[in-house]
Amino acid sequence: MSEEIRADYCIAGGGIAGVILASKLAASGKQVLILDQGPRFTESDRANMLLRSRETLNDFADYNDDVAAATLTPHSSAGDENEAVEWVAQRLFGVGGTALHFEGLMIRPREDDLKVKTLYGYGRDWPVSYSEFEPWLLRAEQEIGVAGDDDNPYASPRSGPFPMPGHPFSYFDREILGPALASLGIVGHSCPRGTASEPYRGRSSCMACRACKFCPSGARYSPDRVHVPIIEGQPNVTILESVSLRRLETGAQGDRVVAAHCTRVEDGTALVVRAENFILALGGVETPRMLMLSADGGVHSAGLGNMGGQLGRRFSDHLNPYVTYDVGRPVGSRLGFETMVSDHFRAQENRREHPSFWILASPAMDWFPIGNEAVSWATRGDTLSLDDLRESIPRMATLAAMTELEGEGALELDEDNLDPFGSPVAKVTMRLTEWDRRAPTKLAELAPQIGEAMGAVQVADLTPAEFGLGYHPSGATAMAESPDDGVCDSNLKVFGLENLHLVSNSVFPHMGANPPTLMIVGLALRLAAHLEGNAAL
Amino acid sequence: MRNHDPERRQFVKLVASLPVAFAFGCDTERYRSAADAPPLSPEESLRKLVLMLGPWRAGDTGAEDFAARFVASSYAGGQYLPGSAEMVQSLARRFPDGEMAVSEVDLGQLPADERQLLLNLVSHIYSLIEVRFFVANEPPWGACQGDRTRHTRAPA
Repeated sequence: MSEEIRADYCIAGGGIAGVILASKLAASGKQVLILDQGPRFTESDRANMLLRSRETLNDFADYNDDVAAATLTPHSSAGDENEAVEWVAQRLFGVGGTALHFEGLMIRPREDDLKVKTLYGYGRDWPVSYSEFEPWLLRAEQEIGVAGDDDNPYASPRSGPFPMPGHPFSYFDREILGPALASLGIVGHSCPRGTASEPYRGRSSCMACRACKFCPSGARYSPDRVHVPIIEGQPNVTILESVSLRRLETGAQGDRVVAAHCTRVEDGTALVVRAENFILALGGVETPRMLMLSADGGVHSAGLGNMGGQLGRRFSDHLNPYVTYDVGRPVGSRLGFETMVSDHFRAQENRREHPSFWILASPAMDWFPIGNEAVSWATRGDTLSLDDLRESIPRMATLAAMTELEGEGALELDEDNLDPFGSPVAKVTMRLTEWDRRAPTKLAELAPQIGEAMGAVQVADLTPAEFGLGYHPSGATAMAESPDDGVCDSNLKVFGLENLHLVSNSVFPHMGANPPTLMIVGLALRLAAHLEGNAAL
Repeated sequence: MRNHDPERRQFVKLVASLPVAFAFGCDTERYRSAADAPPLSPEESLRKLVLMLGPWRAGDTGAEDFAARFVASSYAGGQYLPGSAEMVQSLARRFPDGEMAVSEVDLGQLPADERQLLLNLVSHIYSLIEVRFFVANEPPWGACQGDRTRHTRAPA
């Protein structure tokens, strides 16, 4: 017989959306339950990862390296056939989710990101206006603790200041990149970060260790260090780690979810959760997959909320093309992250010609494998000059961009590939349109110009446009006015189900070039207020 | 001793001024004596190559430790030792023992497959954060500096 648990709110997914939502719902006094398929990592785990990274010379050591195989839900990708692009996810499983290792980029959407269909004819409009959403972005910045300066001439209006000042520009940004951009008519400005520039709500300021993935000082926001401790101190909130949600069960009328059927990862035992309200906060892939796996024999026979055939459609992500330079002179130190970005190519006048993108550059990023470029540039004929190579390393810088996509991907169940519990995994077919490819093309034109303006002596080719796919999956359970255009309404309630809500980047009708995390947190805060009918939550 | 140390600079200039024939792969006497020596094990060969191609000079702390960790790492095992062990040994035998931080390599003296292996190894070594930070005179990765303005200063 299955173990049964009852709660007022059952939140599936203990990532940044789930734990911040729970932290607000806790104030209601109602019973809140969070389920997460992964473990609760400890500070000791984190320290050991950093040590192991050094011991094993693995610059890509990460939180999920040593978890049980059943903790990780695989996915498949359509690959190269029919011009589909291989999609490789970068998500994490564990309490805190992918934000355990994120970079902490907290760049806001622009006002027109939410109206691209109306203004530019591509993508989908949000059913929420920027003016209605903006206060939630401000609150999200306060929850996360965002460091930023009000120096972005391309930004949309904001109703309040950043919680703390931005990080000072690096030598490279101030003396090399910024002037180079200015000579091209591009303004470089501060980059909003979830890394504290001064002590904030018990967090240290950045100590410049440059190992941001593990952030020994705690300056970089991580859900398990900020909001998880808050909810762990609440008697009415319970976190169940290493519990995998298998499917949601709808009632006989098909208008409510009555149970969440789960399996404990460690021993395979069954667990049933019955709750008044269910919220899926499983990220951009597992949220749509769970709605598909929960198809019933009635109105939701094609998946929950899929009456209009929109579930899994318009899957999107970002492209992250890169260029490496030998700037010809030492570029100085990197704080561990970039301090200057430019939203110039997100601005309206550029957006009619190509998808929007933003750029940043810094002394070569820690994890970026610059060895190939260094070897190539130090080889002349049959001679490899290692002296030249060594002298070039402190001169190397990397320029990166994050570009928006039209959103023509698709997510479906892959009946040929099953997860460790026997359910079909998600299969992503990522297609880049001719429009999508205009942004990397523009960057390929721009990169040598920036290089010349910086005085670079070498400029590498643009890393293929497909590189980087998988960081920000979105769009497969979009918000919409009706089931003909999406899966949930503007309050994130799944169509046809009165007690099922979603909160993840999967609900974005369209994702601009900005990273999604700030918007996810804004939506989680907004959902908490909606569920409790209390805007002050 | 770091890359920007004046003494090291002097050494680098001195080595760079030597005739090309002194560069590895061209010194036939040195090559012959190395080739005649008893073969090193694959692990010892890889360690020798790492120290020879890496940025450390004799006396630099951490060089031996790095080389040992490189040889023991899973990707070194995956890319160099099981499948290419003989090639690693062959490549290592072309160079004298005990050299560190060589100035240049004459690739023209190497068979194509060994040439590619050497280039891959160099690319691999200099992509690693630990090596790049050493070369750039940066403090070790993950060590808190307690100075959040360090990145704002002009490089020395």
